Formats: sequence, structure tokens, C-alpha cells
Amino acid sequence: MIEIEELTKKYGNAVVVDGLTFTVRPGRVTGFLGPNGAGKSTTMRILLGLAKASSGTAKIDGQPYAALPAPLRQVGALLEATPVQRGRTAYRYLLALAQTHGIALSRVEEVLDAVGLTSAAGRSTAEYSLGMRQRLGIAAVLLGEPSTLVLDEPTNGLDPAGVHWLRNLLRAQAAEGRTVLVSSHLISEMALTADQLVVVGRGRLLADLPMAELTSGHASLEEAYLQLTGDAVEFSGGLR
Amino acid sequence: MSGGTVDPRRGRALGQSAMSDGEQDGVTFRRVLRSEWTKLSSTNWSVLIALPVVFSALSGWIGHTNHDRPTDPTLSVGGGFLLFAMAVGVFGLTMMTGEFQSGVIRATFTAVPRRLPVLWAKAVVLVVVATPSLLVAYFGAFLTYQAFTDSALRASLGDPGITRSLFGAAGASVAAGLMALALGTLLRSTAGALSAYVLGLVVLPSVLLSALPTSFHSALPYFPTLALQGMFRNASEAMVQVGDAPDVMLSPGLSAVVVLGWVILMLTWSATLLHRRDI
Repeated sequence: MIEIEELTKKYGNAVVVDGLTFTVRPGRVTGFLGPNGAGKSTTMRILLGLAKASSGTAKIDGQPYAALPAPLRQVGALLEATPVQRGRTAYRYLLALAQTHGIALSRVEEVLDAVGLTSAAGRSTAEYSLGMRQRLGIAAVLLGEPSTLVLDEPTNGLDPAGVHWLRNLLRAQAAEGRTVLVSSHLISEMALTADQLVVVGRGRLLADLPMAELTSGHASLEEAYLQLTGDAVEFSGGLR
Repeated sequence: MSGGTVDPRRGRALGQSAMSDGEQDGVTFRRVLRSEWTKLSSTNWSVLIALPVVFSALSGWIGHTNHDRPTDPTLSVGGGFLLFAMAVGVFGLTMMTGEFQSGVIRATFTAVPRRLPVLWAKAVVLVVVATPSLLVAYFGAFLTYQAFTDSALRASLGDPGITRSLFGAAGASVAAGLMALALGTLLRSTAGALSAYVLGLVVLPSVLLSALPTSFHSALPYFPTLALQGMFRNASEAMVQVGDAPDVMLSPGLSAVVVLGWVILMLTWSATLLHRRDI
């Protein structure tokens, strides 16, 4: 379970996350939606202990991330743009992560197989396409068989088959009782994947509702979303 | 650690569960150390292996060219020092900046959210892999140089101060690598850290020498570069000099203490920022 409480993050005078409170429960996929600059990535980075909150708390299973004794076994995280380093193979990238927790070599091979990278595991990740990097990132998420999954824009760069595969994976993980929080800009994809939706704009919570409730009275999730976030769009292209 | 367990009624995901209670599942320093060892690239290894070979060969060639001139053995060590300090420095600072610039640091710190074990593990790995390479390089260079020198002028490892000077040079190079690791942690970019490193190591001493009034020159040996060089000065031979510098160096022992102080100071400073900063 993920609990965000009165979370605020300021950079100088800019308030990126503004008193955000919501809970992500196990057993379902929770979509995390909002326009660019709404504070989704910042919230996730605070949740994962990479950034410090100005005030408020973000907890996973009742503890802040930094206090988890075996974080990879409790939380699997995918951040935007899975990083690559020249000369580092996918296998060694995952191995270095696995070794911090004493995770077995066989598990590294298992997750490489699960994301379809077995044949490319020995290649330098710098040669990977965006979609392959995303698959590598998802392999890292699965490495410690965590009970909580946090994914920031996981569909970026995935081909249609990859998107379909990821959707089934996330739904299966949730069905097994895991907590799954996934951010995306692809509303139609969210409509197929998520059970619960948390919508933010300008760092504030706009909605935290089951899919059916959010979309009731609207033709589609997209329409509901656009109406909800209409006033919170920070960077709009062309006419509003 | 109930947090890692999935509701048993729902079964388990992919493969067998790696979850069992107890500390053996968590992050330990030994595990972080092993992980950092895995991160050493093939480029790192080639540099570590090639350096001693290349430098010994080069030193032999220089020895051959100067075979009939009396030489100060400490100078031949000092000549190699800057080269090694650069090589080990780049090695040390890219251990950290490589991760920051690629973004791998985020994955590293989600695995080790306490962060500092990562810095200490990198420092240990740096010392463990660089020390043997540097010892082989300095001893190899000294021996090949002397092998080409005319026998009447030849110095040997048994001469007073020689062995200590070679160990001192290797130690100073490793210390320089640790300072570079700290700079890489502080500045996070390869270009920035490398510039700072070169400025501090090479440029700053001569600038200080010309800029400071003579009455301040007694403070100079406490600056990192001169303290590093002081570690391998050979007390029984002519002094190592930096440019036109007068002999201002401390004794090798005192220099080592000063260097250790700088290393601890810089690593502590970088650790403080590493712990606090947003990534």
C-alpha cells in the first residue's frame, strides 16, 4: 500500500506538488494521470526516496522508502527513460542491482526471459532502442518480486505488442494482490489498464475515483479527463 | 517484513518467491561492494592492466636514452606521478559521474536508498583495484629505467629511501584517485569534475606559488598536490621540485598525514551532499 499525505515539494518559489493526499491500495491497478508539469514524476521520485519532500510524507507499507531494509524486494520502480551506460550489458546492469540484495543469478535470467530480452542480454544497453530500454526497466521492476510496483510512463517507446504485454503483466500483478501505481499520458491505454484513477493538476489532487465513477456521464475517459484537467493545463499548445 | 509478501491466497507471480524472513534478504555493505565490483567495465580493466605495462616500457626507453647521465631516481618516479594521478583520477571520478550522467544513479539509489554505502563501496573498489596496478607500475618503471642505465650510475631497490619512495608514490596516486571520486560526487558531471581535478592538481600549485607572498610559502606543502608529492620525496636524494619551487615539502610521513586529512575531508563533504541532494 502506498500512502501519500499532505505531500508538498517546492523548488524555490515554485510549488510542484501542493498538499497532495491519496492512497494506492493493493489488488488493483491505479492510474496516475495529469498534464505535463502536474507533479506526477516528482511525486514518484519522492515516493522512491530520490527527492526529499518539502513537507508531508510518502510511505510504502507504512514506512518511508529510505527506511525499507530490502527496497527491491518490496518495491519495483521504473522511472522515466531507463538509463543506459556505454559498455554495460543488460545482464550486468541487472546483476549489479540484484547483487545489492543478494538476489540469485537465476532470477536475473528469469526476468530477462520474462521481458523478452534473453537474446539481447549480452549486448551493450547503449545500443538498445527505447522500447528495449523500457523492457530492461520492467525487468528491473520484477527483479525482487516486489509487492508494490511504481511505474512512470512505462509504455513510452513500446510497440503495440509490447503495450499489450505490459497491460496484461500489470493486471496480472494486481490480480495477485500487488499494489500497482502507473503514470501515463495515454488515456486510452489507461482506460484499458486501470481500475482506479488518481488525477492531479498543478500539483493538486483533482480526482481519486474508480474508473466507472470517473467516466460516468462522459462519452469516454478522455472526455472526462480533459474536462477535469481543463483548468490545470500548464503548458498548452495553441488555442485553449 | 510483511511488506514483501504477497497475499498467499492469491498465489505468487513469476517464478518462485525469493522472499523469506530475515536479514539475509536486505541490503548489506558486502552486497553493495559486490555490486560495485560488477560495475567495473572492460575499459576500466584494460586501463588498469595497460598502465603498468606501457609506463614500464616508456620508462625503459627514457632510461635507455639517458643511460650515461646520472639521474635522480625520485625524479623518474615523480615524472610518472602526474600521469598516474590523471589516469587514476579519471577512473575515480567517472565511477560516480558516469552514473549521474547516464541516470543509472537513480536505479542505484532505489536499490540502496541510504546512498552512502555506494560511495564507500566505490572508494573500497578503487583502492583495491588501483593499488596493485600502481605498485606494479612504479616498481616496473623504476626497474626497467635502471636496467638501461650504465652500471656505475645505477640505483637499486636496496638504496636508501627508494622502496619507501615507490610505495609513497603508489599511495599518493591512490589518494589522488579518492580525491577525484569525491570531486565526481560533488560535481556530478565528468567535464566539471575533471576540470576541477586538473585545476587543483596541476594549475593551482603554480598559481599559488606565484600569487602568494613569500611569507605564505610555508603553507604551500599543505596543499593537496605538494602534500601528494611530498609522500614520495626521497629524503636521501635531491628534492622533488615543482617548477621553480624552492624546497618547501614536508617529510614523507607528515605529507601522508596531510593527504589523508584531505581525502577524509573531501569524502566527508561529498558524502554529506550525496546524502542530502535530490537526484
